[in-house]
Amino acid sequence: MEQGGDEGITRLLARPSSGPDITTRLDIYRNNIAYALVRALEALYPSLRRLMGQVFFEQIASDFARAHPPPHGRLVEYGFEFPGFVSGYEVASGYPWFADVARLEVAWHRAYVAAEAPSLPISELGAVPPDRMSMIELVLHPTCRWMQSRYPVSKLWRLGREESEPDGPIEVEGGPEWLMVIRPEAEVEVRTLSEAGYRFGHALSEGQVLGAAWEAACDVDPDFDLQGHLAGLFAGGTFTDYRLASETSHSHDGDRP
Amino acid sequence: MPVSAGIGLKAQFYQEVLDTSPPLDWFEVHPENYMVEGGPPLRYLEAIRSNYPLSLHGVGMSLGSVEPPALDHLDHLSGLIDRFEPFLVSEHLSWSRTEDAFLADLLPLPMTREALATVSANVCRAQDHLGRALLVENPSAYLQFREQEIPEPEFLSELARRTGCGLLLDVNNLFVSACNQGFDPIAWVDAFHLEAVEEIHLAGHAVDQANGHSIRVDDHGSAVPTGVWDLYRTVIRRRGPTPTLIERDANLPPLADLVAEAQTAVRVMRETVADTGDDRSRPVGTGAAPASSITAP
Repeated sequence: MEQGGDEGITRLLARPSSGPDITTRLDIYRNNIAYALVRALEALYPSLRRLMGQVFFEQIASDFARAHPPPHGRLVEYGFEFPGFVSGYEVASGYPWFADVARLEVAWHRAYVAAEAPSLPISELGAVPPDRMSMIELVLHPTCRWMQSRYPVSKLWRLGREESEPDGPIEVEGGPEWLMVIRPEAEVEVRTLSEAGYRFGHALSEGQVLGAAWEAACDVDPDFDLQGHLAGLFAGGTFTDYRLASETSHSHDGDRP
Repeated sequence: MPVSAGIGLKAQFYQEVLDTSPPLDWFEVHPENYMVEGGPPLRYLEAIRSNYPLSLHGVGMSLGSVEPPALDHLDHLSGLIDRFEPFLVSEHLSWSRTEDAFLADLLPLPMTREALATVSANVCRAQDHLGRALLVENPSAYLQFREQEIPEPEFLSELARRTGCGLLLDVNNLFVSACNQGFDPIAWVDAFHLEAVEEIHLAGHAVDQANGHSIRVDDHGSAVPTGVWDLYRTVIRRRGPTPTLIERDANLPPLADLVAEAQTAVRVMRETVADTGDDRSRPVGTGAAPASSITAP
């Protein structure tokens, strides 16, 4: 919180009969507020904090908190603009991948607290006539997020999480990476995809029909394995429902026993 | 009221609580930490709630703001109340919200007649929206406003009379405020509407040095100190057994240490009942905590 400008508030306050002066006492409240917000950001960005180091992280986090105080009292929803702040932070400009690690942590957190939903087993597609299969739309699991980075962001993120020792030095220019973040059950999973696999899943998540998503993947990889990728996404709990694109309602519901 | 004691439920303790079912009567959480759509914290809270009563202790309603409590905040809280059926729901006599920002602390308000009218209206709005009574807690204070028309204990007592809310007496906050502002905490208790107290908080605090003066900071970062236990005994002697919470938010010790502090609270309540021969038991309107199953060591 800003120092100075105390005169206005000081006039409203009673002079303490003993102990520290008013400014020292005001500072306790200022420190409490700053501390609470920095702790909230630490909880959201544990990997970035370790990669940056505690001192630097606290500096950038308290600068962010001053510039962007929370608009409401739900601190579990605070600090999602931090990656943008990090990418514009001059002192961190030598580390352009910091912001992408932060973006991955936002995706992780959003997956962590998103609504629960049962995943659809691939066997449910058995009800679709084969000639209509290219026209199905798949409903994405509410915890699912997509992310791409020009940096090896998942490796850097895991290093900060101290989940696994890297096999060797991480080459920060050793990207790009295409990622999917999802929590089908209790655990958030960060999956590394091929570019074609990313385009395929991302197209589906944007409501494109299966045929169009396949084409999007084939633009990048003409040998794209549709069945294998679709089976992989289903096995990973990526979808909760499907519908035939020509119809507006969940047409298959009536077909279920 | 029955003798009963609980602790604040921290995420670090979720699994251990489920695995070991520690001898506690109930748990308390900040509802703001659970105002999300899904995920492991809600799953854990649901699992623990199926074994223990729960109290919701809010820090985000800003009852002392001129503006009424935010409707989306009340809606979130209402959803949690429906889902977890807490036996107590509490908030603070403080403010945190300005027009466009949330100041993440419990800030003091001038104890004026105007403020009393504002807070009363806000408590009534919140209680109407939630369909149940709130408990309102005395905050720890480092400052006093010059314009102090109503002393804090009278302010809270009158708030309870006007709105029908209950009171949460935080004995550590009272101790901290009394030390920092140089008033007598026993006189404060004498002026307080103890019959409306339905929950007590106990915690530790830090003693910081500033410019050669010491000041007590309510950080919930250490065990309940002797001075706070002594004041607690005085309160229990007058009020009778009251559901008591051990609050710890920083420097978390092993769960067993907090269970031991809850056991101490139970022992103090039982000794007091034995000494006075009067347990002043009465039913609690909002659904009482069960009588304690804690065995004091």
